[in-house]
Amino acid sequence: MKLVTRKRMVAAAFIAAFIVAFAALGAVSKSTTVAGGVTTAGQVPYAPWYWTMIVSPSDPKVLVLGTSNGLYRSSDGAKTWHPVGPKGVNMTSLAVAGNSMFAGGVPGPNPVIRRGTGRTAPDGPAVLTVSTDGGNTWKILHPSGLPNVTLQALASDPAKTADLYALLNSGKLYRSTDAARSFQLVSPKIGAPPWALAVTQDGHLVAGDMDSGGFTSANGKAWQKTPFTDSAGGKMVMEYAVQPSDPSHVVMTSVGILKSTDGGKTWHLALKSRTMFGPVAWAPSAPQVAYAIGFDRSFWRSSDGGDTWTQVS
Amino acid sequence: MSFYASEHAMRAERVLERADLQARLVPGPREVSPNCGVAVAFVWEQEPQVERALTESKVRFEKIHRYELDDSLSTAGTVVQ
Repeated sequence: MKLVTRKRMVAAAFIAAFIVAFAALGAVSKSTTVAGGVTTAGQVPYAPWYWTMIVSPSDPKVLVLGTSNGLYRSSDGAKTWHPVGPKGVNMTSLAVAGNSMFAGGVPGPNPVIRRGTGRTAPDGPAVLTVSTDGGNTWKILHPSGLPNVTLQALASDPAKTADLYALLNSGKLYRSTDAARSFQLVSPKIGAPPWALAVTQDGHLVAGDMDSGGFTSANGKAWQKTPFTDSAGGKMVMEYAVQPSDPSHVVMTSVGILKSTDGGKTWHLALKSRTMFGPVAWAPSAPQVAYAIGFDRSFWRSSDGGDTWTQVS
Repeated sequence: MSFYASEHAMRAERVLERADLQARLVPGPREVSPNCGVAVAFVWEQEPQVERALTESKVRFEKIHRYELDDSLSTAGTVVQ
């Protein structure tokens, strides 16, 4: 009886050890997958303009890139890219809201026009599309309340998954609270040149462009200019990305890359570089991981919440 | 046309537009210039006027390259950046 008990105890110990080891292996494997994402990228496809990028909420290796040549999708951590979505559309905007990906833009090959002292996407009819399968297929939307005018930027609210902001190239700002089925006017003209837009903590907004710098707003109606200096001593804003797990943390591409920890009120240089950067995105399933693309087609990664950046292609 | 700094490229774009020469910022192909990432594309047939306008306005550029782009500017002729 005593011997049987000892055998059982030994067997139980083996089983317990096996379970612990297996669980530990699983945990390691799981954390490696999440923290992995893009580690060695391939060549970014050439396009006349790089606008924006998003990462799948569930897989840090699935990325969608918005360019003046349309959308490109990678499912292997930016090693290879394939065109997806409607053809012939200058895709200025991408946003993730809930489990849906939204893309917007304007038809035509011309990427950017000069408008006064700034620049925007060219005038034309709006294109708004949605993907519910991780960016594989895209369906054109015709929401009520949104004028048929070039979509300059889309932005989702990290705190409200059904909310989606649409900035037109005229400067008009709209918001949807029903996952892009309908839109309502927020502001007839935002207090920043229509270019890049993001929603930070408590529904606050940041906006800016290449020539005038950055601005913040609590409601989309009143805007304050935010001082910062990019790598070249200028005030260029190319694109924003808001950290999903902490919307007060924002990265901004420019000449180099800047980071804010107060929702875009103040900025510090995270990557000093002579290169002009464009698309930037957080990986929602790996909260400390963010990616950025330079206009020299280089691909960069941050694994520490946007504080430091490493070139991976 | 490649540059040492992106602000030079932006200034070149403005100078060329004021001189009624088609020009715009484009991502610089890596084999052309790794310096600032951004280049200025223009119509190849206007190369002498482009160079003259930039020289007169004292805009610093690195080099002029002949490079075909697959976009709207290339329909107007061969494009360099």
